[in-house]
Amino acid sequence: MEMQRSIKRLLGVASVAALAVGLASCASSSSSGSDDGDETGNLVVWDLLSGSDPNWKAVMDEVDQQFEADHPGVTIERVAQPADPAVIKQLMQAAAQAKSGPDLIMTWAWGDVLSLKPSLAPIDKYISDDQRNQLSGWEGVTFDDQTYGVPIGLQGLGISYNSQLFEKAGLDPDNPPQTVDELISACKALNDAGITPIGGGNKEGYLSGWTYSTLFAGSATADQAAALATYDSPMNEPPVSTAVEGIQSLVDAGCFDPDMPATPWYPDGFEKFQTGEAAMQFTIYSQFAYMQDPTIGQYVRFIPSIENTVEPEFLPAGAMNVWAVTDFSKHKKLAAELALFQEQAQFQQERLDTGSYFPNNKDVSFDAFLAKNPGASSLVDLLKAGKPTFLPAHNMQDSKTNDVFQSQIELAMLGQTTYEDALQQAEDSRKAQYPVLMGTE
Amino acid sequence: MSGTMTNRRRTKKYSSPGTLLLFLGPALFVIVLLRVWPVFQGVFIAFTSWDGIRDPVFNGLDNFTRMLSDPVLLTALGNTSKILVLAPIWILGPLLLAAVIQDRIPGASFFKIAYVLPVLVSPVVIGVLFVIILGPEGPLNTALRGVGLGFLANNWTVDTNLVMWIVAGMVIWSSFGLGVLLFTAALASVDESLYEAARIDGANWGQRFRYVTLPSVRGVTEYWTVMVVIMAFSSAIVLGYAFSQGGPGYASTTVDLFIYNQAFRYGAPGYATAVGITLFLLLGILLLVFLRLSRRRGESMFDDSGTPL
Repeated sequence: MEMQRSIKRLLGVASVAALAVGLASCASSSSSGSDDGDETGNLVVWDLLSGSDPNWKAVMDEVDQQFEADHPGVTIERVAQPADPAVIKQLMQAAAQAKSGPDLIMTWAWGDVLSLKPSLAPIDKYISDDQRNQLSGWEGVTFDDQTYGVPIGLQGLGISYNSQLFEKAGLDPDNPPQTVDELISACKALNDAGITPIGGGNKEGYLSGWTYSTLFAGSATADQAAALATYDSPMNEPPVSTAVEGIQSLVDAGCFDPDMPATPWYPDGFEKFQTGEAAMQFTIYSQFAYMQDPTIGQYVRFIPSIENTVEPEFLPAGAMNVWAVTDFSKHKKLAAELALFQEQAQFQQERLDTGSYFPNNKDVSFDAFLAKNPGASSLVDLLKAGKPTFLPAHNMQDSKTNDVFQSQIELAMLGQTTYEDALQQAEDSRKAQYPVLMGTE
Repeated sequence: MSGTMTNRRRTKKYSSPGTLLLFLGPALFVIVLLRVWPVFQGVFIAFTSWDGIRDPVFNGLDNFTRMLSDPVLLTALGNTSKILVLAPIWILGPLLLAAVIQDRIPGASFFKIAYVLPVLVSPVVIGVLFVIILGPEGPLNTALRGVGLGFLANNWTVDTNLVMWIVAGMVIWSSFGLGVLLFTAALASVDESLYEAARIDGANWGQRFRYVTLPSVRGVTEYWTVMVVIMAFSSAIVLGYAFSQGGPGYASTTVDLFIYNQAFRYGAPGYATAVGITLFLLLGILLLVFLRLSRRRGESMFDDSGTPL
């Protein structure tokens, strides 16, 4: 009897304690929801690159030291997280439900920012006009006129080509193709010379995405690209369908390696270009290391954009990653300041020079980079001249629609479905995912 | 007498509700917290529209009706059923092999190890190995070309008609050894005199297998069948993903990969949970029917003394 009473008493005390903890956590989460937060304390940063790249980590260690020195009472705890969107989403789901977790996270532009938006804080009030002008890539973090992150670096697409193989096929390496029609002519000349025109793999469907994004920049005006960023542009109508028709014409012209769809892994897709068997390759900016390759490096040059139906108004390039401040952070202002601090020219310069991370900060010098990668001069010249950039089109799709789009275009490239059906499926997915993504469901 | 009284008093003392609560409480709390509560939570989520971050919104049976018209889910179910179609090989193959090994063939130990080895290898490694073997310039195509059968060489990994059968074959191959191991252990406990008697009666190897081995390992066969059905629905995800990422298109997307994608990549944990629960119920019914039928059939295979008929 006495024991029963003790247990009841114990349960009663435990219930009151649980209620008190619950109320306290509710109170603390609601109070930190709208203000700038504390000026001192521990800032937890989720970094997707510091665990895998020592060059990146070295620069970010320097960032942390300088920021801590400038902000007495602040410590930065940089946590290396895997660069896997599904993992980050799971971790953020858990953190958002617990209303506790990192202050600043690294994620990917557009789709991942949109899907995590309910747990991210708008940071417009912490960004000065100068800081905004200094960096490019804001289209990947801006929704409903609010900014949900700071763009990190520049990642874009284009076509790398081997000038030596161009010469062998009787093509002028100083005047590479600038339009889809010229590209098709070059493919014919290269095929006639027994050279694979465009290498690449499509195992994960990435080639469909890269080719599409490159051709989209030559199929859409800047306004049409902006419409794609708000996800209002149908996938089965121009300019998306126009870009996909461009892919179809390249496939029909025999531009791609016949083994392309079955290359086992991502790196295998680049083997033929790297061994000098393929003359061209759709590549991203972080692959400029090709220009230092002992076999082909000296011959590699870059075509930054291709005209399909319109003269490219922008380069298909946007934020490589994004720093985003969490809604539940108790140091929102401090976290936003750190996000902007680490993207200043000094650190982007170091990241370019040591790790070849392409910068989105206008004050970064390309001199040292160009000395090592002269083939990238066509792109650097355009950037220096102020050519606008806009996030690659395949990055402006939610993850499901992106999967549908890339896999269906992959099937169309294999001749196992039509391009019309592929685009219809992508459009069906866009329509279904739109309310989920925009939170209007 | 006094000892009995003391025991009764002790039993009464320890069976009071308070004492029971004290002893069982912690374990029950953990079970409820980690097992029962998530199930209820899952059932609740299945009736909501939820992206994992915003608050779940009750949407009635929407997730369940959506399943009926989701072509990708139907494709995924079709793909998983291809693994199930091969279940007879998956179930009886290891038993046959174990029976052959049990006959003390030369090098029996080597065969046992050879069959069990794939079980020890990570599914990711197996997926990667098959990607290499079946690549455009991989050993299989090279061998086919080498023996003059080049016309059979194929882009195996992107052939939409073949890729799911290859994944199914990999799933079976990778767990085949586990079945061999189970049946070898079961056969070791079969009374040798039953085989002796069968031999004296003039039974050949096939008849001994049919009338002695099969009934004697019925329990293990039931267990292995249940495992095979569960594995068909849950173990293809890693192998399939490492091999073909569910593609080309959805040609090798299995139902477990479909659920994973919905829950963790496409922002629809509510829908994924609804599919998971429906599948759980279907699987449960399927296994219950199987076990009941199997038991009824099993009862007619033995006489009253437990000897196979």
